[in-house]
Amino acid sequence: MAIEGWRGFKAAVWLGWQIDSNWTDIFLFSLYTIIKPVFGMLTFAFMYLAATAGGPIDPEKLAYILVGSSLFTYAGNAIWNSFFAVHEDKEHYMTIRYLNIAPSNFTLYYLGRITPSVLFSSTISLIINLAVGVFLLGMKVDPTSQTTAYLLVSIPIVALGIIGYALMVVGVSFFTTRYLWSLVDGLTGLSFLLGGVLYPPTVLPPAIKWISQIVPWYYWIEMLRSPIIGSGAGLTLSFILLGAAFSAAFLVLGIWFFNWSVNRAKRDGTLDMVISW
Amino acid sequence: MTSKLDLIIKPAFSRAYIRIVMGNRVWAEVLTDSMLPVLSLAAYVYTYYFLGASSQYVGFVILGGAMLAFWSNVLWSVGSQLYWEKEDGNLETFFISPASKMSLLTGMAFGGVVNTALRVIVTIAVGVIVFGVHFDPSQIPEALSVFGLTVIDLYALGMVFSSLYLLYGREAWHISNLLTEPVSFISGLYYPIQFFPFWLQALASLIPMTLGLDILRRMFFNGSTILSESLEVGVLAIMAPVLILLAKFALDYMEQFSKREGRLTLRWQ
Repeated sequence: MAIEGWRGFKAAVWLGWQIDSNWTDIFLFSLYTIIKPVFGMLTFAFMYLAATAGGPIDPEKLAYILVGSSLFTYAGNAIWNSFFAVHEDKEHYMTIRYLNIAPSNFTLYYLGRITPSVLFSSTISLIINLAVGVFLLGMKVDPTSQTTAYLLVSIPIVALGIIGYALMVVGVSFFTTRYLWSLVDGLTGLSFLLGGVLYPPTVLPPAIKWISQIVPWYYWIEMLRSPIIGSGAGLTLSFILLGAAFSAAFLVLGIWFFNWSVNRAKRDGTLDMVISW
Repeated sequence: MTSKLDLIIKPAFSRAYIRIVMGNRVWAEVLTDSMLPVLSLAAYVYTYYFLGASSQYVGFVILGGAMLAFWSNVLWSVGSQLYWEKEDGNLETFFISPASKMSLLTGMAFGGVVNTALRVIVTIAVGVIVFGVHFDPSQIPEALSVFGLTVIDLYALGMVFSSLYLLYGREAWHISNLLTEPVSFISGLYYPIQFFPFWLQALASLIPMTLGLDILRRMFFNGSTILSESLEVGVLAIMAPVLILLAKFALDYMEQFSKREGRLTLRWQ
């Protein structure tokens, strides 16, 4: 059983890698992988320069924005790629019915299918983004043994939460097609606005800033950003526990919702419904 | 008897009609398409608040967001449209019909302009009502002319891109995907490009969006007029016919080339 699951997962990883990368050679693919997020981050760097009118740089504020934007791009790409994997299988290549009737585990298949984009494309671009921020833009990062420990604890907690979140988005894509793009855009936009990605929630108007406290992204981004920029000591135990609680809840809900969605899609006949292509 | 003029006008009208009706028949969709981009734009506005920027930067974000909507539409609904048509199996029909391909693309572009304009109105309204952006009403007629000229240039550029899809599949798709962030950065969607080195400013000026935004910002927030910006307006005016001619040439060339390569109607590349 476990061996079969592993074989299915491995095959899905290979398939995901081929679909992501075999349209060009590895050099061009690597360049493509790097350019998009780096330019995204440069946009925020120049917003900073414009706002301060070329005056003295506050390295901490700059780091707050650039690390926040890079982390959000990373997570956003992972979620976008998860949803798009279903879209491709269902609507473009029309292979989803065969994947579903195959003996391999359907959940493991999608986890495998998105692993290359998360591990290779997104992780490498995140590392390069941080390097560009530090070496070219003067961004301040200050890892110490204490903040590194915080980071090592935070990474798996946040990763599990994001996997759960992605599984929920993937689940929705099994039974809807027309509104899915809007849904993904809407969730991303809301998280970007309220999740404390580029600014602390205190900047938001009083009427909406409390919402940030119930947006998981606020905890997930902060749990990774604070240790990177050196303010990890400010993370309280209750803050980390709340982040972990969100992760656990999203993971459990994500797995349940994924399976429920597959069953509902089969019942409604939407699992392999093609309307976009 | 169908005249040559009919083969130009009717396909353009039909393609625009389909796009406008399809894009606006479900009001819930129009509303979500209009409102969702505002969420991200609001995040950019609050970033400027966080940085203590002057209020005119909020106006820059709203103008940039409006232009970004058109640029996204150019990339995904004009530049990439022949990819969708190829994958849908419609491309063969387009090519065996006597209709002008340029007129089909013009129809798509016109439909795209109408649909995007309807959505951009919401962005501007949110900018004015929620964030208090003040657009000088006396500048609006001239600003609309510049905006219109910029949009024509952008869609002509999209028509040039579209020819790539006759030959390529996923490669061209990834190019469209790739063009979003670098072009947003270089064209200074949310900030003036005066912070760039001169060579980069010169390069950025080749993108119509850069020039258009620069003129609009100066008109709305610095009191410039079309006359005082005549050089940049002139460049925008020249770009339109040049890009349209280039699109025609590229389309004809790529059609022949992809037929020779046997990739004109090849799906799932």
